Amino acid sequence: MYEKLEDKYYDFLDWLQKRFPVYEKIIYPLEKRGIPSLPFLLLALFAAGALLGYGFYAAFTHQNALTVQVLDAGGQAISGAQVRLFVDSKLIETNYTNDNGLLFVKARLGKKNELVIQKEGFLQAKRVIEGGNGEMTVYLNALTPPPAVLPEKQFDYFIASNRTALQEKYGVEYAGEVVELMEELAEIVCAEGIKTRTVFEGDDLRALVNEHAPRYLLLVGGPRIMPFYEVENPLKEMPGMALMAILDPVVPTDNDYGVLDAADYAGCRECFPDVAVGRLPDGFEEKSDSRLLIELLENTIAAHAETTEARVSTIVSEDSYGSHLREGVFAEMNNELWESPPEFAWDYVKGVEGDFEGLMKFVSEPPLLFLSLHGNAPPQNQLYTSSGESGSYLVFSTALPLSGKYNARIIVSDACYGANIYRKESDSIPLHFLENGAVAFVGATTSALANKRVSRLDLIEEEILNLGCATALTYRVWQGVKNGERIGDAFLEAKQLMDAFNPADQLTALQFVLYGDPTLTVLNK
Amino acid sequence: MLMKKAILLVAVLLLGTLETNVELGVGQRVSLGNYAVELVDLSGSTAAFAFFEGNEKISGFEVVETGDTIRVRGFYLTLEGVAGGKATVKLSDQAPAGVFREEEALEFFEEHYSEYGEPLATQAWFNRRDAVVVYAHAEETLPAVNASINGEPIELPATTIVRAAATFFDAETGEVLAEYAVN
Repeated sequence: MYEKLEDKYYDFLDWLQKRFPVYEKIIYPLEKRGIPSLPFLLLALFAAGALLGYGFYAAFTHQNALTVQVLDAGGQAISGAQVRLFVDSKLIETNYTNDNGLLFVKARLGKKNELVIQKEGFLQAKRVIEGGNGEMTVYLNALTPPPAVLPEKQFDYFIASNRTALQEKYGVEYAGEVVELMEELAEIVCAEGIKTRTVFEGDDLRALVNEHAPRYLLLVGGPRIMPFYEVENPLKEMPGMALMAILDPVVPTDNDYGVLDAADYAGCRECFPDVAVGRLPDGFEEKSDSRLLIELLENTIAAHAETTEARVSTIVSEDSYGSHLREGVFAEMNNELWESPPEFAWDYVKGVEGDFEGLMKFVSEPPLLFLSLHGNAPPQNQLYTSSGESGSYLVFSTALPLSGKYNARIIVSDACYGANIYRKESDSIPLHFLENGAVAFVGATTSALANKRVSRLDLIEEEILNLGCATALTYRVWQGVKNGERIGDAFLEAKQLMDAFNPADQLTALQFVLYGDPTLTVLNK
Repeated sequence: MLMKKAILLVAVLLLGTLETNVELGVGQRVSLGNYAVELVDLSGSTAAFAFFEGNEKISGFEVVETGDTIRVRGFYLTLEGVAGGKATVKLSDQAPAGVFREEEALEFFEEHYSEYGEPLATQAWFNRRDAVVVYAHAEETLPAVNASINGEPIELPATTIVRAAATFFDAETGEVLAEYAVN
């Protein structure tokens, strides 16, 4: 038996010798030392197998056993809740709670284990698994129940402004024009099956929102007409990031316009508006004769009859680049990338002009535009810049000799202060785009945070959406746009991805604003 | 002041360590070697400090909670308490016992965030949060632009861009809990 095995073994070695000098390198050195090569190699093979087996054992058994119970705020078990386990940002498994709201989870030791729990009618919850075996109870925040209004009396959409403030800033005639256009927009949206009415300072907007719990709300005017709410910066509570709260002690937000009084969201109540709030903004001047607000209303009215194609282009700062920009929703929308550097308008280090004409062409042509760049705080003239190892570059500013009209209907930016409009109209990038063809702009009012894991890991869509902060929010908005959702719905759902207990996510949910009519759908379905 | 310096000198000679414990009021400053720390603000159990190397301010504000240690350019500040409008701080060039995985955290940061420059601080939140935060931040001033682009003159005043990144590590296991960068 052994001899037969040995014959086969030497046949195999002869065959191998033609490809690799196995006798000279392995067999002779062994046998010169008096070690029979066949038993030795069999033993080595067995040891390697055992090691491999142990590796598998270690990988699959070094786990924490955890029983998770999912309850509502009243302590009632939630059955059928989806529980996803992410290990180091990678989705490992998806399961559902049983009738008692229970689920058994095996967490991996030595890694970051995160559970994301979802159920229709509730805000999603995230929990990091800490420690050894045990139990975890997760309470889900129920979405605010709608008020008891007779359906025939229920309004789905309010378009709100302040006639007196408009008159003070622009004059009586101008205010009248704005009001007329608001009424016209209300009629057009009504014709789409969304029951709409206009609201002015004589009405109690807050009471109306609470009474009707509309799906959408549009504020007409910038902060001089319809002020932002200001919320204390949640990063104040975040070790290591508290400096950002010193730079931006408060966060201007529109969320509070859409949070119902009955909302009861543990962690961060004002992070999760129940109503999709949009705003048609204007500049921060006290007095103005600009036609901007009227043009924005006219463009919005026209946009209800127009559609465009699902094709996005992105300008991305070198330090924000990630492979996700070439995959998932970006691949589906044929994302074209302009990476900066090497592309830019102005090189701050060398003091030279870049390919400005190329940049203008790139910004002017696409129907959808993503500006993943850096920004500066007001009242400075607004810039979008890029950064790389070789320095800083100016990409976009209203101080540049810009060409005018843009094809882009929706623009999303994750730049710091990207949508902060405490600036003169002529200094503001979002106002420039809206004035020149865009109908929606999504951006942040203060310093925005990206989850840098997106730049160094290959992640699937579910994993990107679980990264939180501006990374997940902007991605979800693009998903909604691609799927033909109304921009307000996409925006609202994107905020609901944020973790109510994570200060970085809280900041993101507060600071991102939508400039545009939330009922708009601009894509061909 | 002379007395303090003499004590410091003796400590260095005897122990090879620079270390000092002081009480600071808002606006007061203490030096350690070439470094200095100024108390900028107090709020509850939290204090904000500005850090200097020579006369150059190397960090505008760092917020520290009682019991936490922050490392700035190789020296360590521990906020030992806040009472009566004063902050009790310990400065040392040696890491206090209980600083976890500092070098590992710094190495990771350097590998992935080299573009953010030298990490400004390693903050160890031992006992309470068991996390190590490596944080780098810079307020970059972009120069004024007076030039011609596409044949047209442009004028931009100098402006400031904030660049910052922070990585959070589990102090016990070393796992990366979160990585953020300011856009």
